[in-house]
Amino acid sequence: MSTAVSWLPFAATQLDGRIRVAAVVVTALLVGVVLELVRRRRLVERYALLWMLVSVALLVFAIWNQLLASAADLLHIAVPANFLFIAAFGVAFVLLLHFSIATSRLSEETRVLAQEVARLDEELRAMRAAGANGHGAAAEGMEQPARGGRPQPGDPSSFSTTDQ
Amino acid sequence: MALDHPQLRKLAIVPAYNEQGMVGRVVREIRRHAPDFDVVVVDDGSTDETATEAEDSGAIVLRHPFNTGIGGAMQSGFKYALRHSYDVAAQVDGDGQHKPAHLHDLLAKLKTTGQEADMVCGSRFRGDPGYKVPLGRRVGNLIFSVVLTVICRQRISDPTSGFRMTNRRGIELFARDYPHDYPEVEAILMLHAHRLRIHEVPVRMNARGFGRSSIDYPQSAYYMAKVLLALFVGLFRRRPIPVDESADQPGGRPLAPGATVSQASGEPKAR
Repeated sequence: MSTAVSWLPFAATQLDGRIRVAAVVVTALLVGVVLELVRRRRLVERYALLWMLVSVALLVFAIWNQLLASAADLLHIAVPANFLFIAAFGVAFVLLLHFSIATSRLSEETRVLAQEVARLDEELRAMRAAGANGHGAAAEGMEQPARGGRPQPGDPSSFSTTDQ
Repeated sequence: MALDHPQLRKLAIVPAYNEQGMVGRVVREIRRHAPDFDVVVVDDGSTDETATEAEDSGAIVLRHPFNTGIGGAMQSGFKYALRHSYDVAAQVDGDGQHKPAHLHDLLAKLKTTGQEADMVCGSRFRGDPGYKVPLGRRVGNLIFSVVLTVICRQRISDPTSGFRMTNRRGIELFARDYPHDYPEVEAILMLHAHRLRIHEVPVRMNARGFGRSSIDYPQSAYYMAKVLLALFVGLFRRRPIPVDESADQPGGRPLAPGATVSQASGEPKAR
């Protein structure tokens, strides 16, 4: 159990034994949950890494709470908990921004998909209609979808998500 | 689809979202007043019989699986126009507000001035609007009008009008990048940024039937603020297409130098 260390400004900043055990248990659980999510591939690697970093950092602070105190001291923050709050706020802010970016990209991609589905649907129906109308019409109808059907390097859809 | 197009291939794009009972009328009106236009209806995820009705009236229909907004719908139409190498694409709203009889007024301006007008906008405020424009709408329009007129250094009297026609250059631009949220106003800014030229012709419109009236009183202030913000952001937004490509005059300054270099090589040659 931790006893008050002389170089710390306030003895009160030292975590009490019971709460410390609780903190360690909770953050260890968090790390476990994240690892499990990664293992089950419920989290894409990109986010997994982020959450693992966050949870491991929390665990480290819970076990070794003098680190928190000295980090706060380094920044001249009197109460170590405030350092934790600032860090948490910063992380949450960056995360939210990151998710906004991700959502924007997703909605852009979804829009392009909707447009592509509409295109394929129209071309399919045009071809079917042309096929039903007999030979001459079929040849004529086939021509148009074939022109747009090939994905070209400059196909409009491949540009639409580049503007981020 | 089997119509002859000796000189220009022309397309009317009709964005429609739950316009059952109206969209068929719009398509038939276009075919009556402007038979040289092919009609493509973009059914933007309607939950009613919009698509069937449009198809029955003889239009080509692009069915979005869900609603993507007016911008997404119009871009779908422009992509169609690009794919099928149309020379002219016009927007005619599916709610019946635009009179297809004016299509040839717009076309005349696009054609007679040769390469001068890349987009022709039908404006309600250069003559008789044809119906009583609500005051809120008028005020909002005026504010956008002033802002755009200053930015573009030419009179833009009706920036919220969706009744427009553009040529090949506009089609290519809009197929690749079309503003999503408030496309009418922003598209003008976009054309200006790409050095495409805009003309206005006076048109009369119908009062909006039923269907979406995108600006209601309670929301109008909010809408205004959002569009102005979108305009402001749009001024500085990176464009996915090199600006120079579509601007043939030497003075064409790129808005965002180097922003899209990687895409330039994959660009299909125009025509």
